Amino acid sequence: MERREQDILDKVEEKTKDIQVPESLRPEQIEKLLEEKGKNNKSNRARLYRIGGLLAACLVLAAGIGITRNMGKNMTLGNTTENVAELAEESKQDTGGSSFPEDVSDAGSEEKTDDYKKVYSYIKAKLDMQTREESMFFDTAESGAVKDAMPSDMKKESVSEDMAMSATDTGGANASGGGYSETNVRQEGVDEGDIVKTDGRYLYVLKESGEQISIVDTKGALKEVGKIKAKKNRQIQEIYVMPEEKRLVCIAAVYEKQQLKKTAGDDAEEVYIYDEDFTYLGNGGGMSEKIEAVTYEINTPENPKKLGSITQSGYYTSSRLAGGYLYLFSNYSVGNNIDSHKPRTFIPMVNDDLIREKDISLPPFKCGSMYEVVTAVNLDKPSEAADSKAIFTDGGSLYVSNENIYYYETQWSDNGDAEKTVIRKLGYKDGKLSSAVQGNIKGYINDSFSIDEYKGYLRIVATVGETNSVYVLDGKLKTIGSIKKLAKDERVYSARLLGDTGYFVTFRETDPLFSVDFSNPKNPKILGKLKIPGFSDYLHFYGKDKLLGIGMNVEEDAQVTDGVKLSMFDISDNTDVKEENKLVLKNVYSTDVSYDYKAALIDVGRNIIGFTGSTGGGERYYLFSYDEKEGFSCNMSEEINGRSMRSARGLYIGDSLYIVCGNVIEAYSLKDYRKVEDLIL
Amino acid sequence: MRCDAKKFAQMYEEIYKDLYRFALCRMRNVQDAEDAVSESVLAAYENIHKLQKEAAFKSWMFVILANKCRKKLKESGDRQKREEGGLGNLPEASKETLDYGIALDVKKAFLILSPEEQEIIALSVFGGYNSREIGSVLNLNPNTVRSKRSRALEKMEYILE
Repeated sequence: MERREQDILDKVEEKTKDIQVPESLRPEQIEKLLEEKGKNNKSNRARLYRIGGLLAACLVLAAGIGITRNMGKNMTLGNTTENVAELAEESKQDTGGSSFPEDVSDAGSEEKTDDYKKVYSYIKAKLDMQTREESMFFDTAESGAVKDAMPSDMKKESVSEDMAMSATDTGGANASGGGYSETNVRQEGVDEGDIVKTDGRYLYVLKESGEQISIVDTKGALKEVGKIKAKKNRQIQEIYVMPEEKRLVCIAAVYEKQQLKKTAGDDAEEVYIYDEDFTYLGNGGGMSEKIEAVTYEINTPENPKKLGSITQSGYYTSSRLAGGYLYLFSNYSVGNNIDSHKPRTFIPMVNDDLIREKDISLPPFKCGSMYEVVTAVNLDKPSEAADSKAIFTDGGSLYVSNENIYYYETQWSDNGDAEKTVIRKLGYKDGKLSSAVQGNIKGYINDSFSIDEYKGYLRIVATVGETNSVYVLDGKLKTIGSIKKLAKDERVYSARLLGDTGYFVTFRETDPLFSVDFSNPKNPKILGKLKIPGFSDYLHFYGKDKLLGIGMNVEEDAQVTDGVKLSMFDISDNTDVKEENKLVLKNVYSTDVSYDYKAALIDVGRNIIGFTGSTGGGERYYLFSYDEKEGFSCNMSEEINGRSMRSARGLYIGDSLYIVCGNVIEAYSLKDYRKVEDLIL
Repeated sequence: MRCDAKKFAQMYEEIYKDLYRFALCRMRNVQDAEDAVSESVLAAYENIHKLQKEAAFKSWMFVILANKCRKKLKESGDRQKREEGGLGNLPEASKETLDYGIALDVKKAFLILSPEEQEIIALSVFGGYNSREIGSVLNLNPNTVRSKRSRALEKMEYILE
């Protein structure tokens, strides 16, 4: 961890260390409480409680503590990185150059039961390495930790047939109807799932419980007219609505209800995962065994009809919808008990089929235990996989352009060396996924706006140690152009690239907005930089020659943020960008847009900028319009009455604005910004 | 493991301040934080026979508490709906004075974070855990924890006075 980061943690510790714990929580009181509890405990026993996955996590955690406490840095990532370097070297020799990851398809292997030999050996290597690390500090009884008792009813290993899908080109993704808002997405033409969607009349709202989607008619008074309930042990993560095709897709995490696990040790007892304890944690959280995408036909939204469903191993990472195909992403970790004769113990599955070895991109090093799995689904045949691929990973992020899927992951180092980001590219078209190509850059990528494809080139803005770099990579992910050592001691806060020009914001004390010319990919050039107080952490093109920045203002003397800041940049001359207007919302100390672009409602045509802000008095929804001369006008600032673990969403249909937060929908008129009605689901 | 009230209280004594601070940073006010800790204690005690090793007590408690906080936050959202039965009464509810029990800038710095980031930071500070250990609790890979923690700290930096 960087020193600066440690300092912040220390500050929190310092500021909270003198907190008085309430009397009732003092150990003496607790002891009394428990003694009394003990007396009438019997009656409570019937209730099975939590644990299982949790306990497993604990034991692993305990192992982890031992390691770091005893060894300090050496045993953690620093060491892993070393191994990585060594093995990468080896791997290079194998493949003759930097063309790893090896794609097994070249080997033209037939599908037999022992097909997964190579994959198995890589996973085994990884697990062995982990066990070695752990057993250095624990006797064998402990290092065995938790053994997975995999279900013994192994069905015959089915081998998936290559499914020839009719490649029907449905053209671009859902075209805007104009009269209503759509989810604010990263890439135009590539739709993303969200927790609220509309088709121009109905609102489809994921309820706070994650167990239901409410379908609300906005015509006349708001009225819930239908619902889709998730099956048991499922938590809906995100939904898609395709207004023209009359389809709704619901993506859910599937939790094993009572996953039987046996613990090592003398009294091998059964423990249970109790699903009510696994509530929504956001993307990447939770411990789902697999994800399920269910497609419905919604000709009559009051009565959705299920068309089919597909499952995929792992927990939900993300998804995209383009050209009538859904692309599902999940992250699958291999358990501890793998068996070379039972591919199901280490190969991810789509429905009941194992992913074929030729569709698995092996890791660049000869070990690995986690996959990112992607499956394409033709929504006309929603129970079948059009194609699937899996790549080994240690965990990364996604950027999906109109033609390619980029999966990037940073390899951090603890010893102060610059981190490295490995980028894998999979082509996609009409449900077909092409093999991975790999490249890497120095540094880390702030978010998916800092990585952008244009005319076959991939442009990246990265923070490298204490400085920042701009890279241009060709179709094979080879770096062909770069600018290095930009903005020392600052880091990238946001970026937006369009065509030949890119903009990015770095920050330390003031906010330089850089503009970059990418017209010659081999020779990108910094055109200019504009220094202003504060920083934007979200950038959005706002009509011709305008760039909107949403971020924080920073009080220059104290270096403390003092409110959310809106900036409008005039980019008509990209060598001389100007901050045309700004507005600081004092007392609004954060906005969800800073970390969740889907929380933004931005419509240039209608001149609407909407988002939530946190104030001392709770969450509020703000709506602005912009005029070159008048600057930003705040048309609405209303308390949000719903409560939710997730960010609130603002959507419009015609002249109505709907603010959805948890189970509460509030409707406002966009003519006079007055509240019209509300509905509690 | 076998454990009576006395033994439990001894183990608890080592960590209760950290547990309470964790809860304060996650919950909306002092009362909710207190409830979260005491409910977690009861749940843990009831299930203490499932705990294999005393050494794992601390992390086990943090896992239970993290889940408890998450669940309670969710429930308070649901309860609000049930109790109030309509939005007409809401201004009343929002008038409740919020006693954070913690320096305002620290609370603000936590409020700016997503729930997951809050957990990562609170586990770092009060649990003293590294990215790998936090990853085990939250079922995230260590790299993801590191990126998220880094991002969260950047956000907090400018709010902490």
